[in-house]
Amino acid sequence: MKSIQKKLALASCTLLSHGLPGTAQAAEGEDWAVDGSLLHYAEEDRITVNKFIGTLVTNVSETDRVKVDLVYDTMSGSTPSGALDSAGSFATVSTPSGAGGFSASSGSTSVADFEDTRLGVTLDWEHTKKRVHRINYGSSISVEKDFTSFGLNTNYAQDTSNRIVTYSAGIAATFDSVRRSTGGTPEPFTEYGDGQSLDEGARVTWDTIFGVTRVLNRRTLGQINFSTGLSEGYLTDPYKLISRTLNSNETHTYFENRPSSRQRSSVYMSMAHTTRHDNVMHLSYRYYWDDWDIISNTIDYRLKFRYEGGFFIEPHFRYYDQTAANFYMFSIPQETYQLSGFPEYASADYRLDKTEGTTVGINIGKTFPGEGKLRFRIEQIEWKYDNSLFDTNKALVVQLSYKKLFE
Amino acid sequence: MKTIILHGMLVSLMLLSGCSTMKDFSNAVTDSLFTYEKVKPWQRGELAKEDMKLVDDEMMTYADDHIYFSKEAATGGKGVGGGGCGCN
Repeated sequence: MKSIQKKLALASCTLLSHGLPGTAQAAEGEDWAVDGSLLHYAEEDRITVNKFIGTLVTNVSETDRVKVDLVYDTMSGSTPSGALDSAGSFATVSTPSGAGGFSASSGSTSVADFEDTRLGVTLDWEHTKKRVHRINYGSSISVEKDFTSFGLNTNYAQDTSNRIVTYSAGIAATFDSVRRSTGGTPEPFTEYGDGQSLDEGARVTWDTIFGVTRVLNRRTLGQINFSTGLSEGYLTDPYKLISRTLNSNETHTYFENRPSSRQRSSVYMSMAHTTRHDNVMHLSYRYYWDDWDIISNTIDYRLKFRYEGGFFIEPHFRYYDQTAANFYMFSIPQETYQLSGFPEYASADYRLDKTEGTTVGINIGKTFPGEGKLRFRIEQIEWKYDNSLFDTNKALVVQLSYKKLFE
Repeated sequence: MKTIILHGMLVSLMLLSGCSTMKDFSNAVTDSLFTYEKVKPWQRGELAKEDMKLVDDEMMTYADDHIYFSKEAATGGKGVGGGGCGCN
């Protein structure tokens, strides 16, 4: 009975998601749950990432639950730097000595070799009071060669007395330190190779979220969230470059410069529905905007076909688009430079360009009732950029996960 | 060539997984996706299933959030908090 009550409560509660979402649900009805996952992400001729994710959830009392997540990534390959491909065409650009984890690739500054590892740990504690109030406290730390992040968050959710609607609110603060693998950050708009370096960059991000989740009918659950956040401090990428072309034979390349604040907002709608054929559909839409003039739409659709014996097959489709940031440019126009020098901000980072992305994939698996779940997925992601030197990027994602429940 | 083979494989698997995808989707829309009814506690059996969680696979969601955070300018919407990443 206790287990059924718990499941009913979970079905109608808000799924406040954190770094690893679904905190409250990871060990439903069980005392312990362990979930482990291996992921391989490979871009064509670019970056390769191998990731391990491990999660442990345990009920420490009737009303308290603790969750620990561990993430370890290894990343290598090359990534577009934002500079124009100028191999052999100019001599004003040189590779910084001892670049360590990141350096210009094979004589060209348009792509840069990249190698790093990341270790992340998050700790969440959730307390339930009078069955309808839930409060969650979370903390996180993430360390890379050139990046350190520390975060704190708290989320509160309250069900109505009939458990049909859940109202939720959350706030998070994240403190990041950014530096090049050689230390420090480059002075914006200094010429690449000049070696002028400032202290490491620091930024603080505040995020808030407000959500309503509602049981729409006996087969449909819906959610709507409004999120807004503000980042202040060093928001420039210390590795990204931007070129200024003087003529067909001469190019100068500089470190980029971004605004020191960014306000982001989004409305996110999500729905889970069991169809009359007993399949489960997940559909979500996000509308995003920020004060860098980026507007984005994201649609995500999955349909899980469930078969006897706990087997399932789940096709997945995702569509994404975004407009370009108001300071994104392919390169700094020579006419503009001659007229008024550098613009206030400029970046040639392809991730700030107008973009369209599609994901097609499939997830297959088997559920072992009361024991766990095995799943495997393969997906292909393709991004198309409107104005970048490299106008497409394709990635293959392969992930194997296994969840084990313990009494 | 590798891309064509992969796309072919994915489409084939999607088709094999059930030709009723579109029919199921249209049924869902016309049926009850957007209809509201008062649901009694004893009528929530379907909603209580693990598959009906809005985030039903934490590992997949976490990995996707990290991938898209590092490759796209828009982020967030589902929640707040979690470990940062120097990839964006």
